[in-house]
Amino acid sequence: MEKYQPSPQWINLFVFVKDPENKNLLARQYGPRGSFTFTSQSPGEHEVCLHLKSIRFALFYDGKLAIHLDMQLGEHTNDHTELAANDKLTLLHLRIQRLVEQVEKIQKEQEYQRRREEHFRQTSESTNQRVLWWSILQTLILVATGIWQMQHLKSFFKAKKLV
Amino acid sequence: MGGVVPRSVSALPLLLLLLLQAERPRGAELTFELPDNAKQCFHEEVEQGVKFSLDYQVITGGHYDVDCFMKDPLGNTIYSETKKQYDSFTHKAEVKGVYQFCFSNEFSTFSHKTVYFDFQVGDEPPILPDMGNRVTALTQMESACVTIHEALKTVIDSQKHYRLREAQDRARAEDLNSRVSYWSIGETIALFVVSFSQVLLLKSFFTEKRPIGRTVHS
Repeated sequence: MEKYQPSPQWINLFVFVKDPENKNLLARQYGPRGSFTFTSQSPGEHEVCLHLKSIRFALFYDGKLAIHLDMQLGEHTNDHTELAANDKLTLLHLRIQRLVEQVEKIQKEQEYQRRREEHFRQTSESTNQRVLWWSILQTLILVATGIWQMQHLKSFFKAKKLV
Repeated sequence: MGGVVPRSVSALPLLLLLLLQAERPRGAELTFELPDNAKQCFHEEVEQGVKFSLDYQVITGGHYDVDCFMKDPLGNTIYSETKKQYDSFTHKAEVKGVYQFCFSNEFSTFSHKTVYFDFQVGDEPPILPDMGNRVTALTQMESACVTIHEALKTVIDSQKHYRLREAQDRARAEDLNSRVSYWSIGETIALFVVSFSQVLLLKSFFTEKRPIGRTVHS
């Protein structure tokens, strides 16, 4: 890997976080270093975007940027050393605490899957309805077109005195 | 981690390299978007003798396949696969330095892909950072906790795979839905065009052709 220079101080990285409904949970500008936290309000795909909009950057630096990204989710955000120091917990207590966090994560994941299944079922049912209506509609269109064809040709031949 | 999609977007042609530095020997999971005809690389500093593993899966896009290759600090390719949907790879680092792995979508012209990868370096750290130096026998309670912890890790891991599978199936279903919608509309239009031209064609068989260039008799 090539060597990178340390980043200049004027670099501003724009960070925004979007929730599953495409609403902005966080939109802020940071200098070359920064940290942010957010709590998800609804289950689903969240988007984290790091954006560098700087013409100055493209002109002076080859256009290559190395970003160090450290992202922690869920139970990884808990700092056990801090917990141990603040509450004076024994090692066993800490271990059990970690197990509790793991079980909570499993529960959350199961809740997420339950919501996905519910959403999927709703989508399936609506698709089923739509397919049914569309088939009926298409058959009607077909029959109507056939009738129109026959009537049009019949009147055409009558006019031509062939019928 | 997982379930969060970071997208590296830049206004001007910048190559963004995401450096995942393991301050804690754990690694990272990331789901990112890979545009068509693009390559995205990640770098990690690994000590000598440490075992690391990479597994990846394509979630959405095209034929759900991606190229992946991995290079050691000396530039040798230690892993290279083309058009894989998912794969898993472990390696013991012989050389200390920055290892690079890249995902390439350069073979695809219009489908951008979402790729999930999980890069783990070394073993799981002990619950308290200073514990690694102490060598004490575990009580029964503690060993029970360790066993439960490992079992729960397996559960969380398989849940993660289910979540990825569900996302992939959803992407496929939505793709199918849009294709069916477009086809239905196209078929209706074709129906109208065909029936209209049938009638016109039949009419033209029975219409006398007017002679071109009528001369006017005075």
